[in-house]
Amino acid sequence: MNDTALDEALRAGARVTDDEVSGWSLDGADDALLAGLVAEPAPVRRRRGRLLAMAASILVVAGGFTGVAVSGYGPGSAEEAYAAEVMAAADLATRLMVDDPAWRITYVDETAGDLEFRSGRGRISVSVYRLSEFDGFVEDRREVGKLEPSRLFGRPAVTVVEDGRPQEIFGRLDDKRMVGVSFAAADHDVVLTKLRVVPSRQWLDALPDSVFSGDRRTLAIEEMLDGLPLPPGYDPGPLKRQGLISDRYGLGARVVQDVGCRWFDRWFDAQERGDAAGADQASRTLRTSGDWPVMREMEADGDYPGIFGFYAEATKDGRTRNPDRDLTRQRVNNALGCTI
Amino acid sequence: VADDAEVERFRRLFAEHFRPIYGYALRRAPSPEQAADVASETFTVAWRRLADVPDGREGRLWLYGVAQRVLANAHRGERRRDRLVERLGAVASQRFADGADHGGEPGERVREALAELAVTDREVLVLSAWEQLTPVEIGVVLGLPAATVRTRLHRARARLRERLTSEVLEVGR
Repeated sequence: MNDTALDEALRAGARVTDDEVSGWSLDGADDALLAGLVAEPAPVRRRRGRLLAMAASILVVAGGFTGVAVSGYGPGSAEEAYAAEVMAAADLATRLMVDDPAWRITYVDETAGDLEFRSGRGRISVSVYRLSEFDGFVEDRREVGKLEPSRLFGRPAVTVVEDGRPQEIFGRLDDKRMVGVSFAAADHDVVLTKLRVVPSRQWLDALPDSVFSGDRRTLAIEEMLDGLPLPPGYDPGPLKRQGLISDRYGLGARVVQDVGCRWFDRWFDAQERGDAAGADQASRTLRTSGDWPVMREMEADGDYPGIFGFYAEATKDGRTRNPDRDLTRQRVNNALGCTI
Repeated sequence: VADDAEVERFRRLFAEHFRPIYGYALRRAPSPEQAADVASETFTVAWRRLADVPDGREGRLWLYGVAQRVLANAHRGERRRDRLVERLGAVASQRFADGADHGGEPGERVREALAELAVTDREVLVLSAWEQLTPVEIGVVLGLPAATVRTRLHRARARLRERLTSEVLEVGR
C-alpha cells in the first residue's frame, strides 16, 4: 500500500469530508449561531503584539494535548535511589541527553519513542525507529532537500539540508534502532557534538517530573485501578513492573488493557464452554467501561475509550454493529491491543 | 459594544472558516452534538480574541489550534450548551442520518487502526489526510518544526500501513 492508497484509505475513514460539509444545508443554524456570537460582549481589544502570546499559549496547550506536559525537573539528586525494575527499564530505554546543562529533557513518549530537548527557544526533537526504516527515510528526504554525510554517536549519519539550512539528521543508534533528529539550523552542531547516550542513572535524574517513572508511575497505576472492576485473582504486580515511563493517556490505556482484556478473555472462555452465566457477567462488567474513571479521563485525549466501548457492547450478542460481524479474539486483539 | 468593523471582520471570518472548522470537529468528536459544541466554542474564542486572529490561511491554522484545545477539554466538566448549538448539532445528526457518515466497514477499520497510534502520530496523519495541510502548516497548528512533522508523518504512515495490512489479511481469512 503506497502513500496515495494509504491517504485514500484514511479519507475513507473520515466520517465526513469538508466538501460534504460545505454542501450541506444547515437550515440556517450556522447563521443563527453567528448572530448569537456577535450579540455577545465585544471582543477584547488588544494590540497585535499579543498575537505572539496567544500563539504561545496555543502551543503550550497543544504540547499538553499531544504528550507529556512540562513541569519542573525530576529527582535530580545523585543520591536518588531507583528501584531495580526502574533501572532495568532505563537500561532498555533510549537514554539520550544533550551534554550541556542549558539543554533539558522536556518530553518523553515511551509508546512512540520520542524525546524532546529544549534550551531557551531552541528545540531538538528525537524520534526512534527500527533500523530497517533507515533507507526509507533517506529516500523520502531526497524529495525535500540535499543529503549530506555527517556523524552521530560516532557513526556515519545523514544530514538533510533544506534551503541551505540543516534541518534533520538520521543516524544509527545501535544494531537495531535508528533516530531521526530535527532541530533549528543554529543547533546543528549541538546535535552533532553533544547529543549522546548516557548511563541509566544520569538519564533518570534528568527526567522531568511530568514523566511517570518509579513511585509516581506506581501511584498513578494504583489511582487508575481504583474504580475498575478487577477480575478475581487479579495481580497488578506485573503491570507495575512493565516499562518505565509513559504519558498519562498511554499509561491509562496500558492499565485498561491489563484489566479489560482479562474480562474479554473471560467472556470468550465462557462462550466457548457454554457458560451463559459467566459470559453474561463478563459482558455486563465490560459494558460499564464508559463509567470507569480512567476511561472518562482518557476520552478527552483519544479514541481508545470509544473503541473499547464499541467492542464491550458487542459482547451483548457476540456481534459488532456497523459493521455487523462476529466478535472474535483476533478482532479484540487488533482493535484494543489485547493478547488473548 | 462591538463596532461595525469588528462585526464585519468576524462575519467574513465565520463565512470563510466555519464549515471547515465544523468538519474538523465532526471528524473527531464522538457525536455531531459535541462537534457543534466544539465549533461553537472555537468561534466564541475567535470572537473574544478577534484582534489576535490572523487573516487568510493563517487564520484557519489558528482556528484549528483553538479547536484542538477545545476538543481536548471537551469532556472535562460540564459545558454550556445553548439552544443555538443544539440546533446546529441536530442538523448535522440529520445529515448523517441521511447517509453522510462514512460508517461502513472500511471506514471503521481505518478509525480503529488510527486509535492504536500514539496521539502525536495520529494527529499529524489526519491533519495531512483530512484537512489536507502541508507539513509546515501542521507544524503551525501543533507547534512543531516542519521537519519533526515530516518524521512523525513518515512513521505514522508506516505504522498505519502495518496495522491496515494485517487487518485486511485477518478479514480476508
